[in-house]
Amino acid sequence: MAGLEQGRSDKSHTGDAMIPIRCFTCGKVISSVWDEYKKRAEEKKKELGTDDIEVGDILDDLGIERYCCRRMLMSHVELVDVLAQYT
Amino acid sequence: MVYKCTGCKRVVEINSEYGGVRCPYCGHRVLLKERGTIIKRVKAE
Amino acid sequence: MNVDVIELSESRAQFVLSGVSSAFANALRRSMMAEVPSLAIDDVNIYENTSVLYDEVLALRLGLIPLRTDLDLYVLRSECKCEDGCPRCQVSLTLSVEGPKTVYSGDLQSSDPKVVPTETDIPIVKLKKDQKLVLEAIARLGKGKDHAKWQPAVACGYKNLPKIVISGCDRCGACVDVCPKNILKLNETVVVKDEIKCSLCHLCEKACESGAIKISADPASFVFSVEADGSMPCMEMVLRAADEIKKKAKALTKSLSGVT
Repeated sequence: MAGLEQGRSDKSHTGDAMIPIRCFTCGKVISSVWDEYKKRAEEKKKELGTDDIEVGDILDDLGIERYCCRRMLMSHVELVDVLAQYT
Repeated sequence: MVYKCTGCKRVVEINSEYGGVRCPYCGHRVLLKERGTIIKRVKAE
Repeated sequence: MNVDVIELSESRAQFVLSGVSSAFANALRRSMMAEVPSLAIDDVNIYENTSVLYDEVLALRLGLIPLRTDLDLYVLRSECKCEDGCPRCQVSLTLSVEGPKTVYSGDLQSSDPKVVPTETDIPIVKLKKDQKLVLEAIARLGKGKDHAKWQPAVACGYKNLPKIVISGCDRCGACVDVCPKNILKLNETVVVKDEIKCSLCHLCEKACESGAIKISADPASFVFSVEADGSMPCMEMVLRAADEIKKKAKALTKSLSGVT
């Protein structure tokens, strides 16, 4: 990608910086529950003292039923904070 | 043409007579072009 | 043709459509996905963007936000009499935020109070200190066949109505254990709890040594499950889809009437 193109000057690849708005497969809006999902997952991690937690019950509770939507949240790595260091 | 130095973050004018690209303040060689003032129209797709 | 509603809410519906061909059922499904128009952000004028996202990525994210759509108030741009956009075919939404702050869909300021994002807590971009975002987004009506952002139906599909017949059961219980949907129960004989949930996998047939259980599908009945993205109620979406089929059939009749 052209590094000096206008308006693109100081950004690296940002495809996965934020949680995708919708599920890639079915199109359901899943980003609106991301904050809550992350909060609950972190709480659970703290509670159990391990990073190896099961998130199925959290996703059920948030109304994310299909496995296509579930993988969107489960596999997402938020990169905005990492990218922001380089701007 | 106005650029921004990635080393000292100062605004830098590039001198075309000088063969290379270099920040006159800190000597850093990486300069970035700033975004223009025009309104950019992008398709949402 | 007969419709039995099983579940109906604003965002989802399940119904049995019976007495139609599979071609008609599929036409209805495709019409919901591709022919019913809805509003979505189409053009974005970016005045300032110092966030970590590219203008294009930002525009795509904005486009995918579902907007509340009243189809009686707006017309498709191709059907509008105006030349370059007017209040009948487009809506402008503005966004002007300065960091540090996470920008949510609720921060969009719409020029029409009826056209707002269906959910206010969709994160658009996270702004750090000194980062700024100023833009104007133009929302237009469009169809799902042109871009998925204009698709009012989400995960919309159907299956044939399952029929489970049990006769001569020896109460071995093998089918109850093997059913992945847990719809069989062992009483005096095996009984079916919720026939509609059957996924027609035929595992119970294979497990039954006496051949007492028979699974079949009614070729003229369809169990639809429909989910809307919130731009319009599910009910309206299905009705509009049927209207679109009607419109198309009328256009076909009209064009054929000239042929003899």
